Amino acid sequence: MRARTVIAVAFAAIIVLAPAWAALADGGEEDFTAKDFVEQAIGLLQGQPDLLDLIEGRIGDALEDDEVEGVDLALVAQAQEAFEEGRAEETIELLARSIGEEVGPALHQPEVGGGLEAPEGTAGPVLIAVGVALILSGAIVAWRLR
Amino acid sequence: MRVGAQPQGAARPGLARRFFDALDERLGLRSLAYPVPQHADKLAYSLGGLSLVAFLALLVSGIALAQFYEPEPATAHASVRRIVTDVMLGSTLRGFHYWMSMAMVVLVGLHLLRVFASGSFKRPREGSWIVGVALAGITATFFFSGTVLKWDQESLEALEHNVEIAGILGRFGYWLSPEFGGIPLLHRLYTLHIAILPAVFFLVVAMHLLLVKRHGMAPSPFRGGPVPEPTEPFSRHLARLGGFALILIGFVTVLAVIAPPMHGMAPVEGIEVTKPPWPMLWLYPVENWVGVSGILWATLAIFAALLIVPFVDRGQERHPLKRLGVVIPAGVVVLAVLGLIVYALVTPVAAHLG
Repeated sequence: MRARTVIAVAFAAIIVLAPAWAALADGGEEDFTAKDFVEQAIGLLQGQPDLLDLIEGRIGDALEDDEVEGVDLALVAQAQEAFEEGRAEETIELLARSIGEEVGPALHQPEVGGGLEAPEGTAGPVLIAVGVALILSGAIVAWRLR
Repeated sequence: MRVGAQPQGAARPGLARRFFDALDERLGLRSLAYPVPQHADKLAYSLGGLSLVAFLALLVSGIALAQFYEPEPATAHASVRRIVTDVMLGSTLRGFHYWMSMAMVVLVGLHLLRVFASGSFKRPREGSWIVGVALAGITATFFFSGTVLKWDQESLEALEHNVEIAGILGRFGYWLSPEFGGIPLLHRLYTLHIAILPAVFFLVVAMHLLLVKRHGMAPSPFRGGPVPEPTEPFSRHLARLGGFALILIGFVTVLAVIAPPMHGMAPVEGIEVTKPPWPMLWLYPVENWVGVSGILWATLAIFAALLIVPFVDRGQERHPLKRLGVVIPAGVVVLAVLGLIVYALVTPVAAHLG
């Protein structure tokens, strides 16, 4: 191997294998409030409802936290009960109400879009027609100039 | 005689021809008709041009989206929802931007693979390759920052990884940390996405195009036929590229209507419930095994490997079957990345951050 190649490989190796100088980030615990824990529990219920222990833990953390401003703990306790009985939808609703929100278009609306959808209104079919026309005209141009 | 002037006795050209002549006299359009080898017309040799078309389409759709988007952490999520639900054709506009960004990632990746497979980076085109790798890096940064801007749960988790990696980089990552600047990191990523990256992209792509013009198209190791290879005008190549571009834009338009991209729940700090989008998904298992630092080192390793390609594979031979010493390791890396993406799809969601 030529000297230049050796230098290039060594340089790449240094970049890739020299993490020693970079101390790992200080991942100190963040200071969450009861409201944060409630929001996290809602997020988990909507994003990863299978993580039962984690969700249960977040609801428990909310009930045990000292900073409870803006949280109706009675509703959180009801949510805990609903969760233990497997009523996930009701748990989300109670948790949202406990912080003065509703599950809806405001904060905790789950995802929109994704997957295949039939186009709504007249714009959708028109746009599809435009797209197909572009594909066909492009194909004709590419074919004629091949 | 003035360019485009009428010789005596000749039939007067049509209006379109005279209009083109007038334009050519002022803009020098015919200078685009310089000869390029015929293989330039193949789709595989149009992937770079198509990547540029995708970028321009993203620029236009991005400018339209920017009229409605608020890069404020408290309102960004709602503004994206408003684009999807309230703005006329907003869902399609966002879908177009999303799918075109996916297309650009794929096109840039395929262009890199094509250039590698055909040995087009070899002397004297090493500079084109290195600048091209830089463009791939800029594209990846575009993709990452765009992922954050939609400001749903996936975005927040991506941003938290950004912050964690900034910490790993220490003083070199300060610019990427929330401490720098005194304004929310989302603002700065927005500036990066809509101002800094486009400006840098234009500069670097101009260098790339100048180098391609300077050295000409590399010979194709896959063609048979007469030697030397027949040529054709570059303007014809551009016209065929225009045809491919229409197909791309039409295809993405249809996708935007029938498959609008997901917009997740509003971001909540302190939980990790999402996986990254598929172009970054190969890093997910790496993060599972190594930790967050694995994202940084794996990414750097890939780009470092790409950068040294022209310095390692220096022989004259361009055909991949005659360069197995570098083609096989590269193939293993590509298969590993694809394998990691598939593995990540079936891996359960895991928490990685402090």
